[in-house]
Formats: sequence, C-alpha cells, structure tokens
Amino acid sequence: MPVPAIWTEGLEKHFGSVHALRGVDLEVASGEFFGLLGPNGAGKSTLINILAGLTRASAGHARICGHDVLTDYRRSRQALGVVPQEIVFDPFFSVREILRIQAGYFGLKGPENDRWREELLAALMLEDKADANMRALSGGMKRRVLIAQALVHRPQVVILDEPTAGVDVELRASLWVFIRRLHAEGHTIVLTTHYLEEAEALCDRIAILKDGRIAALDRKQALLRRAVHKTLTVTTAEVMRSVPPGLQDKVKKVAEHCVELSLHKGVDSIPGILETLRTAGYTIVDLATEEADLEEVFLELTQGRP
Amino acid sequence: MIFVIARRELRNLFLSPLAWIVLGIVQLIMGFLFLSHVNLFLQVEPRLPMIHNAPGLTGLIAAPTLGNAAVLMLLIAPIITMRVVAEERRNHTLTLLYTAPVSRLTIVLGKYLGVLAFFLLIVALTVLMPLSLLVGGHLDLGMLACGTLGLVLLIMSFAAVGLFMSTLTTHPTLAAISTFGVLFLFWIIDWAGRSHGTAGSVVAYLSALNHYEPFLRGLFDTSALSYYLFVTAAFLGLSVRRLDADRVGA
Ligand SMILES: Nc1ncnc2c1ncn2[C@@H]1O[C@H](COP(=O)(O)OP(=O)(O)OP(=O)(O)O)[C@@H](O)[C@H]1O
Ligand SMILES: [Mg+2]
Repeated sequence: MPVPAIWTEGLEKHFGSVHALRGVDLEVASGEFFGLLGPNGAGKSTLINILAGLTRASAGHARICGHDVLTDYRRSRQALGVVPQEIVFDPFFSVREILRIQAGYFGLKGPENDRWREELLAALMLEDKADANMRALSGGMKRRVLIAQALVHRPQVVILDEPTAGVDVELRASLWVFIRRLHAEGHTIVLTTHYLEEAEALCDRIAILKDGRIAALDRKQALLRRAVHKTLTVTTAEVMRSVPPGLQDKVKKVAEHCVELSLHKGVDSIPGILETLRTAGYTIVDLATEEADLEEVFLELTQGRP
Repeated sequence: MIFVIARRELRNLFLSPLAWIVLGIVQLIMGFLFLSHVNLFLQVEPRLPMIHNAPGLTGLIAAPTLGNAAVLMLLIAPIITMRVVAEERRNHTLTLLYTAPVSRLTIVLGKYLGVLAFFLLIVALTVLMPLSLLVGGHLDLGMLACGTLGLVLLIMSFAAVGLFMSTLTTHPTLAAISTFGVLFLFWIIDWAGRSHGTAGSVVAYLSALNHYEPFLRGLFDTSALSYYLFVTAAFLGLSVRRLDADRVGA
C-alpha cells in the first residue's frame, strides 16, 4: 500500500479546559482532493496546526508522507505547505523578497527556484505587484501571497485553511482553477472552507469535524446519499390557505400557490402526500423534488437534526 | 539557513527607520565624546613629558571613548533587540518560520547573528574614530584591539539578553524595558558588591562592567572572556527553550 499523504492516529489537543480535538484518526491518500469541513471552533485549524508543527498534540501521532511531524519534522515540513487561515505578513518586505526569504528557509536557491517563484507569481496574478510592499496590498492579494509562500518549496501536500474567505467572486473562481491545477499536477490537496458548494464542487472525499471529533468521513457522493431528507415542492391551482394537518410538521415554506415540504427518505411517500393534498381539496398543477445538497447533509450531521 | 534568517533580520532592521535613527544618534554622540576627549588630551599634552610612564593617545583618548561606547550600548541594545521575536510573534509571521524545516536553535542563532551584525557595524564605526588618530599620532594598536574585543564581547552578551527578553513577549516595548532593566542591573550590581565580603565578591563577579575594564587597560583577561561567552550562551539557550515552549502551548 502506498504511504498516505496525511495520517493521524488518536490526536488529542487540550487548550487549558478546552478540549479542541478528541481523538482524530484520519488518512488522506496521496493525490486526493480532500475537504475538511466543520462549524466554527470544530478544531479544523488546530488539526492543521498540529500537522504543520505549530502546535504540539496532547496525545496521538501525525505523519506527513510517512514522516512523523515531531521526530522527523524536517522531512515532514518539506512535504507540506500550509496556507494559514489568518493573513500574516512582514510589513516591510516586498512580495518577491518574501518569497525569496521563504525559499531560503527551505534551503532553496539557484535559477531553477527563481523561475519557479516567478511562475507562482504569474499563476497567482501577482506579477504587477511583485515589487510592491506587503503593506500596500489588498486583503485578497495578501492571501494570494500566502498561497505562493506555501508553495515555494513545491510540497507534495498542500493544506489550505479557508483560502477563499474574504475573496471576491472572480478571484475565487481563479483560485479554484489554480487549486485544481495543483491537484492535476499530482499534489494532495486538503481544503477547509465554510462555502459548502465549494467543497461539493472540488473535493473527492470529505470529513466533517464536530466538537473535535470526525462526525463523518466519506466520498462526496456517499455523503450526499446519506441525507435523510429531500425537498418536495408542490404547486397547486388554489391558493394555499392552510396546510392539511397531516403535513404540517413537514412544511419548510408556504407561498400562495406553492408549498415546500421536507420528506424523510424511506418514511414519507410522495403519492401519499399528494393524496392528502387532494383530499384537502387542492388541485396539483406541478411538482418537483430536489435531492439534499452538501449543506443539508452538513447541517444534519453537525446539528444532530433528525 | 542561519544566514538566510540573519540576513532577513538585518534587512528588516534597515527597512525600518529605527535602525537608521539609532545609527545616526550613536554616531553623533560618539563623535561629540571623542572630540571632547581629544580636546582634553590637547590640554594636558604639554605636561605629559614630565610624567614618568605617561599614558599616550590610546590611554587618554581611545580607552575613554570605548568606555563611553559601552554605556551607549546599554541604551541601544534594548531598542535594537526588542523587535526581533516579539514583533514577529505579534504579526504572527513567526508561524511562517515555524512551518519551515528549521530548528529552534537555527532560528535563535540566525536572529542573533542578524542583530549582532548591526552592533558590529556600530562598533566598527566607533573604533574608526580613535583609529583616525593614526594619521598624525602613534597608537598602541594592541591596546586598542583589546578594548575593541572587550566592547564586542560586551555587546554580544547584551544582544543575547535582549533577544531572550524579546522571546518572552508579544510587545516590543515590554521587551525593551525588561532588557534595559536586566542590563542595568548587571551594570550596577558592582556597586552592591564593593561593600560586602565574600558574598559581595560573588555579586561583583556578575557585573558586566567589572569584566569590561581590564580590556580597556589593554589586559586580555580569559576569565572575563569566559564570563561574556557564558552569559551569551546562557541567554541564547534560554531563548531556544522559550521558543520550544511556544509550540507546546498555544
Ligand atoms: N491558542 C488557543 N488557545 C486556546 N484555545 C484555542 C486556541 N486555538 C484554538 N482554541 C480553541 O480550540 C477550539 C478549536 O479551534 P479551531 O481554531 O481549531 O477551530 P476551527 O475549526 O478552525 O474554527 P473556524 O472555522 O472558526 O476557523 C476552539 O474552541 C478554540 O477556542
Ligand atoms: Mg480555523
């Protein structure tokens, strides 16, 4: 079996009385596009910090490409690039200088590395700002510099902690393209985001972290199939005055000629519901069903909704 | 790797106005002090031949100039070292260094060498003043070299203390004040030592000033040398420990 890109076992982290991670076992295969989701405070950044060597786990082990993050930290860090959640920067340096210094920390020099950094600047559309001072960049530009910084040493594994937070629509699209390209070139990508449609569009496999535990971990399609609810929208000829008593607990939304119902898969049958509506005197004009999206699965799993 | 970090540190110093201001002020004050020593020398010069074993240019101008420089170092060391770690921690840029495959020791040594390079520049500029007397006079170069070595050792230990204080906090000003406090204590501890017996001599041993004086008189004192090297190593070691603690905690 090939060495997994990321491997953790029984990771725990205490911050004083806060139990941020409660036993996280995770395995991300080499070349995967992995999504790490979870509500605020779930422990995503804590997990990432442990992998990056910024925080020491209270218990458990973690490896990047087979290298332990503590005992073999040089090689594990060579293999890993992390784009931090917070925007951090040295105010006095220019973008090019910052990248050169960062490459220096990895012991990289020579024309080949210079070329790679120029490529990064081009790919992230930073060329015209390359000699500008970090202070003079907008938030979105600073974030792109952080991405470039995480990639100067061409790491096998790239972790992006909310790279698209506070980034405009156009830029977000171009970041997606860039991240997809990295993935196509063979990098393992771990993406944290609060935009679930982003995770749905990009990731192969998704883990949902909740209160320091992995609440779900599966392929995206399997996770979507896990949704127990789907939405049924019924349009009626008559104005919807009152929803029949048997359906009231399923109502999501009522409009003049239209009712949106949330169905429990395997329990509620669509013909049965239509029958109830007809009995109540409504003429059905149209109906549509919609499968749950990741957002609903996410809410079901993180809020413990039935 | 150490030199990448050191160069970045030095460059960071010169990208901010602080280093230039310090450099300018130090040169101004040292120039003034140097000239007043020269002036004093010119006043006493006619009487010197009458004194047996009279001090020369080196003893009357170079040594006091270097002595003054030490006091000035006490004032600027906190200012130059305060930002080294504290500011990076405050900006969270320390994380970029922490995620790179460099050890804590490398980080500490790199940053230390960076600020030390700045101090060495100041020492060099200071020593140039007495050296300029070579144009028209005769200097005891051995004595001057010895004094310079003393000043370098002194500033090595000051920089290590300042670096350590900077690793303790996220506020550069706090680091500066505590560095100044510690250095000043090391400086004046000598006074406390003078009056009391053996306990006093132990305390006096700790004094940074006590170990500096022999160098100014042209005496190469190995115990003083080991004192400064020990202080430097101790505070650098403490800094490494402190950075390690960063990772354990937050
Ligand atoms: N340095 C710290 N000191 C104390 N508590 C911390 C620290 N860092 C994180 N925590 C706590 O650990 C828990 C997990 O935080 P973490 O930053 O990992 O969440 P997250 O999943 O990244 O959230 P978000 O989506 O908001 O970024 C939170 O309860 C947080 O308050
Ligand atoms: Mg986070």
